[in-house]
Amino acid sequence: MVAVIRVKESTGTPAGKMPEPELGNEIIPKERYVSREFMQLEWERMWTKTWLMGCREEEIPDAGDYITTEIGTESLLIVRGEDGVPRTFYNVCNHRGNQVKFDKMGNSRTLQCAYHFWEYDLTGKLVSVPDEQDFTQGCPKDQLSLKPVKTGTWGGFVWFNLNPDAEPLLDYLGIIPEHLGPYHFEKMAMVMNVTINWGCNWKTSVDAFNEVYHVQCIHPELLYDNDDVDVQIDLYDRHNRYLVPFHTYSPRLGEELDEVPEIIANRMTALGMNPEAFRGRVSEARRAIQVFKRENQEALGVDYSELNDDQLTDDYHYFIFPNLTLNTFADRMMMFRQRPHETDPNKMYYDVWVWARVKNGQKRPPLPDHEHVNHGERSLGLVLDQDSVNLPHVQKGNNSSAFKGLWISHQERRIRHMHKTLMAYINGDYANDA
Amino acid sequence: MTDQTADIPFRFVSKTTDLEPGKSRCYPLEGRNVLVIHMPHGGFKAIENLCSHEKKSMEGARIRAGKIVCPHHGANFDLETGKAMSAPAVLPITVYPVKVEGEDVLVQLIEPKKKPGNPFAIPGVGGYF
Repeated sequence: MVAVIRVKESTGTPAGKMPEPELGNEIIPKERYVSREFMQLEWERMWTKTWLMGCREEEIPDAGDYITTEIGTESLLIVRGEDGVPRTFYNVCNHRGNQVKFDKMGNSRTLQCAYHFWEYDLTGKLVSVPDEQDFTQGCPKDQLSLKPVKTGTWGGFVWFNLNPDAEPLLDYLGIIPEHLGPYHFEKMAMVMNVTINWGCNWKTSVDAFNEVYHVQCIHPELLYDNDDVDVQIDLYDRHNRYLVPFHTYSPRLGEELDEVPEIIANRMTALGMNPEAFRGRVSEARRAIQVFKRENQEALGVDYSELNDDQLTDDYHYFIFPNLTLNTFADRMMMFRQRPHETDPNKMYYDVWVWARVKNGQKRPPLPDHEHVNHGERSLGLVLDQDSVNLPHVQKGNNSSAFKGLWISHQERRIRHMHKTLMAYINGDYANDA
Repeated sequence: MTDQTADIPFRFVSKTTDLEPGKSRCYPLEGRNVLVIHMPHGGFKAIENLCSHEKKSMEGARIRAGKIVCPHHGANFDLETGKAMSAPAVLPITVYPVKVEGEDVLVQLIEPKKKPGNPFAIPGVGGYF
């Protein structure tokens, strides 16, 4: 049987196993996935109270650069000021309610509404109103400036919180900066930016990536690259993670494999290793890749010194409540942002971002164009296509009168943990954070 | 059909009388495993005998409404195009062009479809993932 060797200590990302909290065994009511009333509660008590990732700093590098992003019924405008500070505003002009910016991203010296040219500066202050004297009630600039939204930055990302009294971003992120800081996301460049309309609740998508129980069923090829059994799960306050060994094979396949699987061999070749020359057992390939990366980090162009050996191969997979999924690797990261539909609990927006570490001496690649497509219109590669194929059917099944709720296994307990956090918001247990 | 495909000769694989309508049988042919299917309403189809999900044999699979149903996990594939029509499969299977000459079933062994070498690779993202 394969025995995964794990690092026990780490000077960077803590690798140790957390004690397991008591989460119970109750069924998770399906109403949380299909009910408009619950969706409204989520909006009032959770989405408007939590820190949400808005954009990447590199998307707004210069003064006047802006992006728009949507959460629920709100459109937010994130803009970098002359002072270099990114700020978030509700994307609405206080004259007649037009959206100040319609496009996904752009650059503007000032933020001018396209309807009657009310003009705001980059700090959101109303600075110009055509025919201002015609407003007999006056145009008090302090009341009519863009409504600001609490904004913070960490890891090269810009975050916002619709709660003006929210706790500081770093307090909210909790263990995340300590755990993920060693990856230096700020040194990673966005190489893909796709949004897909999915026919399921946003949590259905979150759940799909918070368990590896499905790997043996829908990703059979990954059994030849991942150990889906020896997965360490750690549940923190709001957030959680699992650590999935890569470039090994699943104990579900039984005894030692005779030859290095093609997926692992391809990974070795891509690194500059010769899989033909590898003489060890297949279960030792993961370790060989770790050693190779450690010994050749200069040639590979990445400083791995803050990462432990497991991080050189494995997926340190984090879930940042409420809606960020991070497949984190030493050289790359695949992030999913799950956003609710404006009105329909049976729909969501699935944002997929892929990041690659900019190697030493390499130029940062230009930002990829944003694509927004319907489910099925664009392949996301084999694994994500496999992940997505069931989701609309899960949602339809969740709407069945025969289905009561989610019957969760121990290995799926990140789902239960997410619901614990969600319900704490719904029940107001986090109210004192504000 | 490309010119390259047109150059591939049709090979004898089975007799039409070998199979009852609705039945399938696997024949080894030039290093391939060719699953010959006698369609329930007549006519013959041939596929590479590998489900694209777990690479298992589909010999003896049921044929329903022009689709083959993998006997292992129920993946459906369109027998005209090879397209996966239901989970757990998402990749297509290889459908070999078929000709019937007299009582002979002939197949053209076009290049079988392959799984990606890196299952995480995303079209348009280069080798980044």
